[in-house]
Amino acid sequence: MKIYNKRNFAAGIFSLALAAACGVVLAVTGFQMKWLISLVLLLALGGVDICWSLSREARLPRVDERDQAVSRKSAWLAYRIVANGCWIVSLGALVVYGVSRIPAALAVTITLDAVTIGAFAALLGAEVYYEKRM
Amino acid sequence: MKNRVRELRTEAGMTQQQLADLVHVSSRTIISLEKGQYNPSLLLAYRLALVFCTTVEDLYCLAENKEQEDRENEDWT
Repeated sequence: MKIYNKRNFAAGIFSLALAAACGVVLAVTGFQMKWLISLVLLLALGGVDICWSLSREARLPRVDERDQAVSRKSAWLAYRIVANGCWIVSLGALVVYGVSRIPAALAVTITLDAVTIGAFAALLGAEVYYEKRM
Repeated sequence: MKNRVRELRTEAGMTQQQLADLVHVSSRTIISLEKGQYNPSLLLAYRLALVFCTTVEDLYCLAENKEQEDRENEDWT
């Protein structure tokens, strides 16, 4: 027996371990429907994952280089849309706060600016990481 | 970038899927390559050249593309 997909196999083992934990909880606390449903679902999920990981078809497909290029470009575009969207909405909320003095508008501004700054910091960190490794 | 992938593929009597299987990419990638929408990695260009028994320079009309690029750069400056 050979494991063709280690990731699926690990996920299956994890699911089965959680199912075992559910079984223990069931045994200790008595019958409860939520634990029984969790147990059945986790057993099924773990079983499917392990069976899949042992089948030949589970071998990870070769990643197509154009798909990777498309992923990179779309990830960058999505980042720009989200970051610029946050920035524009936060400016709008700041204007609303300036006009109406509603505290919620200020909270929106601060939250969205924090998200924008966080995303930019993550981008910067990722760039530094790859700058050293490529 | 201008290339001769479609020309050489049809000459060889191959379908896009057959070529894709030979160079380990999807047929969508071959379609993009033929349209000149996507420029391949060096390795893929080399694999394609091997399949058609030619060189990367010939497959990707590098001399012609370079001349065109130079002209565009001159126009820009």
